[in-house]
Amino acid sequence: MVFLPDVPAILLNIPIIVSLVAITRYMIGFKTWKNYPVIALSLAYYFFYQLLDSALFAVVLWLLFSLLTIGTAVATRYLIRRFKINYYARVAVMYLGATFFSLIAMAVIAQTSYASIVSDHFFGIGVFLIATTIDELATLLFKKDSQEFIRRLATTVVLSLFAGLLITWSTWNTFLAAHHEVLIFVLIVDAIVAFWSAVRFTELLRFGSILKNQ
Amino acid sequence: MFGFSLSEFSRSILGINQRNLGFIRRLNPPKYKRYADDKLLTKRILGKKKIKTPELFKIIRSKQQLEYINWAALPNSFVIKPNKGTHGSGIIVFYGKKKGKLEWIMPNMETMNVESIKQHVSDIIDGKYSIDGKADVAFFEERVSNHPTLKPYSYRGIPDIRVIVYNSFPIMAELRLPTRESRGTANLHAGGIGVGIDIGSGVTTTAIHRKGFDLIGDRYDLIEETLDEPKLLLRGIKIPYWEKVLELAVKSQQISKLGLAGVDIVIDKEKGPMILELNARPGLAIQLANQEGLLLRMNQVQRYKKKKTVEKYVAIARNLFGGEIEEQVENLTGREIIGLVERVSVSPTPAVLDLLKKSKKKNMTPPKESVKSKIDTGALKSAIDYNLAIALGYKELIGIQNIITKRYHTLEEAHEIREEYDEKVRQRQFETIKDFVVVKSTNGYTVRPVIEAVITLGAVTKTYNLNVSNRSDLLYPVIIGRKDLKEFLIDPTRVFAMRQQ
Repeated sequence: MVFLPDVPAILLNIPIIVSLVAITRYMIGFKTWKNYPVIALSLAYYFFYQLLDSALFAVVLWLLFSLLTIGTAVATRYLIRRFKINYYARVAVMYLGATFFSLIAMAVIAQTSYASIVSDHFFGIGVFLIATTIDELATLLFKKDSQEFIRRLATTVVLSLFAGLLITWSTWNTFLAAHHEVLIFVLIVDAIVAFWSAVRFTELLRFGSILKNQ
Repeated sequence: MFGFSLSEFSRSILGINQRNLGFIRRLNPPKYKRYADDKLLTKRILGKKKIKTPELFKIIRSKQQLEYINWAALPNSFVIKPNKGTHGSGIIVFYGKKKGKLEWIMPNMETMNVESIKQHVSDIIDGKYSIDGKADVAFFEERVSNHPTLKPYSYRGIPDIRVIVYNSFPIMAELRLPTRESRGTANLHAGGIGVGIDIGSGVTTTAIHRKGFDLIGDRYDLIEETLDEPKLLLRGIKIPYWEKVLELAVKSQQISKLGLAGVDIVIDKEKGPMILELNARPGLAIQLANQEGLLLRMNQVQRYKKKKTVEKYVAIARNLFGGEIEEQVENLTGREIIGLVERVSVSPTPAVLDLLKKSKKKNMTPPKESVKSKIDTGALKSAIDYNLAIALGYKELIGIQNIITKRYHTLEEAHEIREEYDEKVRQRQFETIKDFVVVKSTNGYTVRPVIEAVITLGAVTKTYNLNVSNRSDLLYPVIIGRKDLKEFLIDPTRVFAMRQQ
């Protein structure tokens, strides 16, 4: 049986991560690829950190598997794009490709001095969480053009890593555990974002040329 | 920091947050948004009101249905669309058919056979392109024939016109041109060209094209010419059926009951303007194409009450937002464009003002009147109403009122009186009257005194010689004649052009 090290800390951090996604979208103007991938990827980082107990190694392992999974899913989609197969079957093949390359990566790690991590429960949960983001990735790939896909992918990866670092920051978690009222502050922030009708930061850069040209 | 003031930005540019919270949530109820998202329903609703849309060939609701299609019966050119698609995704235009084969040609010259089309339709039905990701319906419709005016500017596709209609006012418009890069679609995200349109004249102004990759979102370069050969200037294209395009956009928005709508219109070579689709969440890049903010225009129309006819909404919008082209003409000719009726401010000349000050208090407020004036190219000289002249301080006129109102049956009689009073002018018996003239009217001849007054029309302030006559029963107390119109160009379709500018 797997015991999560700090369930209250994880639970308390989730609404904060989602608020960050909302702020990034409505106030700054960077869109992520929905909420779930950010939560899943940040939790994956959390598990890798619990496993390795080193932020640097956790980041390397997280980046390796995140980029491997996303990269192989995109590559698989690219390779099968000419085959006349149904949409959901195509998504299934993307999962298959990502799983196959994850298994190869695990086999490679098993040959190194880090072999023990491959059989750890935390590693398994982390890899599983990363893999569950493929469905959202497929939706994004099929609906948005390549530029928008890359933009959202970059924002998702950066924000997930930031959120992962936040969940694993012991000082922050101790503060959060001692001051649950922080969630009231989060609620206020959510309310502000909910009614935020002012301009997004990126819009200043996009539309500023209109005023400059006048 | 940004090179412009933030308050100015938030006053004129419509951001996506404000669009969603301030306008779409408030003006576009979910029920009507659903109608607009459903292209087939939109077609049906508009069709009931006799508004033209491209002809519908076939609706495919299930994959089984694909097996029963008579592919040979399909025309050489047609379009496949997902019913609830967004951003033009899933739309394929076929503009030709390979001879003797069941293969259709796409704008990029690649072909699609029946199996490929079936696959694409299957994807649509699976919801690959649908706005909510749910199962969708595909349909085949007529491919519009390109209008000869717009054909040279578009690369193998059909250009469309997006008109933003806000509470029945067409506030902004953009021509979207397909390019080689956009593979024949008129989508700006895909690399199409967006060209701003002057609402008043229907003539294109500035044009934009998407830059290369930028992390902060789609950014656009201002361009002057088409991207593909032959290079053609994008500024100055006169959109055919412009008035009809605007009326059609307003009618469709009213039928859809959306308060803020993006209406996409195509112009068919034979059938004229047709509604392609309605958009309940219109994109904001149109502001870049027009180099002007939507919010500013929305605020401008808010002060107008509900109008009875579509034509009135269009006329107000054309008057309010026309001007880009005029500005260019004004820059070229150095002349201001005015309408047939303009508001002018009239005041006495400094000499008359001095006389007034002498006769009254020194600190008196100088008289100044703002009145409607008729721009009358049929009249040579300008004229002013007797009562208005008195109000401005030309009191000497009171003493010769009988001369002004009297009518003379013969020219000789009138000239006799004129000469008599001209003599008085020469002898300096009048201080504010400069001359007397004879004017022929329907009932005979009148003798009119001429005064000098300062008139401001638009940006031009100068001293005018004005014939004084009784115009109290006429609409306009001031007439500006040809002699005083050298600094202006006249647009006979407009009134109060100066106030709008």
